[in-house]
Amino acid sequence: MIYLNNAATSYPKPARVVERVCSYVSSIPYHASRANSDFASADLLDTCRNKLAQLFGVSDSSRIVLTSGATEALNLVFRGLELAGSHIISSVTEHNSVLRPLRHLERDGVIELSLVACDSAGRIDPGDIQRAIRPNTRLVVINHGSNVTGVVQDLAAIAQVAHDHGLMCVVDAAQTAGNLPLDVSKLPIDAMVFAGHKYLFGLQGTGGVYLRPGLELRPLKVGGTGVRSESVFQPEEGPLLYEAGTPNVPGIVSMTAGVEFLLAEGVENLRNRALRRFEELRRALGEIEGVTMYGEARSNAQLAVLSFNIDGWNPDQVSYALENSFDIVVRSGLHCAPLMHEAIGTSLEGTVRASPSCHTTEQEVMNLVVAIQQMAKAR
Amino acid sequence: MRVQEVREFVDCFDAAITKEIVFDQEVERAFIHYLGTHGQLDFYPHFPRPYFRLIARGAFQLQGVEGANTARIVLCRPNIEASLASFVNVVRGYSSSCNDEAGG
Repeated sequence: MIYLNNAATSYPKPARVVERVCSYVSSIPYHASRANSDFASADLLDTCRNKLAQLFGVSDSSRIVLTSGATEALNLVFRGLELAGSHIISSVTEHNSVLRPLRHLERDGVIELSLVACDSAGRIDPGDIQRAIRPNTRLVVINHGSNVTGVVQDLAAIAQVAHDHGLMCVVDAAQTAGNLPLDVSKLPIDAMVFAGHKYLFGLQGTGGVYLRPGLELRPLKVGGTGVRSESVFQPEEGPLLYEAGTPNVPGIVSMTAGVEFLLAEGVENLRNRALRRFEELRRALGEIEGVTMYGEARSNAQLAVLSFNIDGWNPDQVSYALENSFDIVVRSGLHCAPLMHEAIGTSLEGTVRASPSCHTTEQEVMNLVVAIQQMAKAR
Repeated sequence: MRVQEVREFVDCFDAAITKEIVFDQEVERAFIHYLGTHGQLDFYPHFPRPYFRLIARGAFQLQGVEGANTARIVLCRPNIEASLASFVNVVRGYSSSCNDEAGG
């Protein structure tokens, strides 16, 4: 089976991720009184934070909060900030993990919300963000890289607009963490949310958020922490404030191993490998009559994510036929980004999305091209 | 040939109208051609696993591959149950015609 759905979740995972997770789940679970354990839970979390800090240019790893994924992290940020009466600026390119929490806050009368438009490729003009600013604007929320068109926003410019106007900037880096070099020390951002199971090569159920020094949130959940049990209230130091409950330790182990893989291989190197496959695919599909592609071809501002449609086929039929006839896994539909599809003109049925990774081979891309050629001819 | 199970299919679009049909046996070519008598059939036998899609206008849309015991159906609103029932009847009709041939 050829897997081209890495924008949803990455596969295969690097060998070290598989080995580390298997080793962890095969070992007796750690408990505090056990000496010489290879898997001390508290150390495992801190090790993960340290690796992520290295990857993201974070000087204080305690500013990294580990969560069950980008969705929980986004909810932590939006519900953790004091936003009552505030105006928030976001965009039509956002994933539902951003749109829904913000819409709920808007519906509940907590915030006012503006969603700036994008062009037909999905690109946002930082000037539009500036023009949307009101006296009560407090926050800009931006999707760094689209899971529909793969377009990468000019994050530095957008964050600068926010910074220049005294606004906070929250970045949804679910598609770009591990996929693009990211150094938060060089960006005027307040929070960056990431998913562990995409290009950080961890398991599903992992992710987190970087919070800039000085940014404190109300916790989304309080409860057991495994330490400081005598405290009636949630401990307030470091990430403990936000990480109540039993952590997803196997997932965190996987994310650590995935980040180690990234640090060893180099994010830029892995990105270039995936982009080569993207460019091969885009070039080949451009020569097939009846295929429409979305997004743009500029690889310096593009992820290896390609949305397309085939005349005479709805996207669901394409993905079904690819998987069941040709043994190729892609994704079809709205990809949890309904407004993006409105913007690019595909809101009725969505698109087919192919998302190779650094592990995708040239042959696998060619197999997809041959399959699409057959389908386009057969319509 | 009969419908053994109707499974929920959870994906991007409305799960209320998209279901996975499980048959009690594999889909054979004769069944695919029979389906063609109930709507517009596109059949691509040259695909690595022969693929078909059927539009039974106003009733349902079906797609599947030869040799699998499942197919994916999109039912029609507003009466989803009637839409599913019409498909089940189509499948029953195939079984009856097979029996008739066997008996003849």
